[in-house]
Amino acid sequence: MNSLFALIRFSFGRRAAGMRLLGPIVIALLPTLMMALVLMEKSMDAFDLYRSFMVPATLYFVLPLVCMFIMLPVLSELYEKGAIGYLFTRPQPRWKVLTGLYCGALLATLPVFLASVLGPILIGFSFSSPTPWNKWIGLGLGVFALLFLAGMAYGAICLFLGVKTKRPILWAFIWLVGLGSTMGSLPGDGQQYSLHYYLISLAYRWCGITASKTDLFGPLETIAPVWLCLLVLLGMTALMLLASSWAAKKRDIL
Amino acid sequence: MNSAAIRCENLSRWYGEVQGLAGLTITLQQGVIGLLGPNGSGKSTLMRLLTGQIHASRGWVEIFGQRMFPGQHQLFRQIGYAPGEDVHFETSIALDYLSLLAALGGDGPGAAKKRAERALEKLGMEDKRQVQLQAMSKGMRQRIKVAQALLFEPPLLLLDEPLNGMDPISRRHTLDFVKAWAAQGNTVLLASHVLHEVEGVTDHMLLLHHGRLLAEGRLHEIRELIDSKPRQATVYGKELRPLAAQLLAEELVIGLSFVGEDCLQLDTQNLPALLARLQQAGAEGQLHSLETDDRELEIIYDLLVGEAAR
Repeated sequence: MNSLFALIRFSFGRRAAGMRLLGPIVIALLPTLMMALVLMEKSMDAFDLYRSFMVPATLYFVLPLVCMFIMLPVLSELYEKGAIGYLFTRPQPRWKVLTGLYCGALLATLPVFLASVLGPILIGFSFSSPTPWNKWIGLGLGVFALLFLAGMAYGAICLFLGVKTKRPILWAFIWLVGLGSTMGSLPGDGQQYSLHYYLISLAYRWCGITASKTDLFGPLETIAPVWLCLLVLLGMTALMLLASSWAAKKRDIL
Repeated sequence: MNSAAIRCENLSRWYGEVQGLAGLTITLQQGVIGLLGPNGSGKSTLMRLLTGQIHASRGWVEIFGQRMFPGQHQLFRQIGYAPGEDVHFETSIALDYLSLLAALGGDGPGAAKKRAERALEKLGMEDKRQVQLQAMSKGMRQRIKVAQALLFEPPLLLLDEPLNGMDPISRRHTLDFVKAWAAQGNTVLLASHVLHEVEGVTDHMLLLHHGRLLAEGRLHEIRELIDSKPRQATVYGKELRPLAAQLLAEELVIGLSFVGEDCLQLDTQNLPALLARLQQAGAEGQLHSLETDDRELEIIYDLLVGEAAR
């Protein structure tokens, strides 16, 4: 366990050190900024605005970009510089090294996701939303849980791409934005092959967010049950971690 | 340890169409072994194969009797490895960096820190423990690399060009340390592209060139090996053409070329006989000066490499 904790601490420090989280936090706060601008211009229910517009925007735009910013360099950077050799020439299995790096980076996403949830809530309160605070908190917790679960799955995909491919940014864009948020928002059966479909189903089940004024969620004809959503998201996480471990054994360190 | 420290059998690695290492078969026992070769000769490829960082295209590696392959992590309790590349954890401070690597060996936080401090002391860097790696000179970072390889005092040390960028005092210190380490019954494979760096600590050499093993053995054995190879002498003087004709007639040279009117380069299979004849010519006032390629041990290495390249 010592080695795992050391790797988690190292990876978290590497992702969160200095100003490295500034970019992701700015991205995470864009919906907050948009919400503030809208509320200054129009008289709207802040809670409704957040639930109907800003949560979808967070799930579709903020989530994939934050994952790419934070999770993608975890391994791709170490491979690119050859520094992974220092970690893989230790008496620890490679899966353990990968798991430690992954967990540390995942921890670094938490303050970013927290900012993306707390920002709109604070804006809502400052514009004297009539919605009781416990509803705000409930929605905020739900969205935070969604972001964390999706961050786990998409983060694991980023980890895999960081080991497997030498063009991780391109592939991450295809997987996270193309197969993720874009395919997840298109109508039709293809939607169900996107992780975002399960994320949106969870958003409906946990936060009561439905297809919407934004059309961002697409016309979901069937909403997946919670157990299936969790199975897919957690299953994808486990699968991608295993695939990363396999890829790490196959890839040469040059 | 009864098994050989390192055994390679027909070990080969190709990078696409580029040959990194070709058919290397060696058995290395305890002691310091110099791994010599110019840049691109396959030293780092061999180091990476020995540490399971890359896959062999053919053949295999054994470390202390156990097969090494990518993902074979248990063997790293017995191996300390300092890669050729510069350290890449630039923002880490020395102590944190070494503590992390010690923790990866299984130490708790306190023990890892102590181990890191001990390793720094061994390399005489205890005063640099709080210095960021990116703020260090290249020589200091090289010593940090050696320190991390020594964390668990492994019986096998693989050092890839550890002296690059070091100042003379650090070099001496590191080489003394390598010597002392091997004297305790350990094995050190020391890669370098400069012979005189290595010859101070060992006369057991492996010479690589273009991925092939050029020679292996004691330095004097390598000398004997090259005795039959053509050697070169350069003479300076006036009116060298009659001398050149005489040397050819006496079959003391196998080739010659004029570098200007005053300089003559001679290739010979029998350097001692040629030198005796040239001394005679010198005594007769025909020559101003004479140079041979038998200056340093480094020349032997250059000659071998040159021969292979031809």
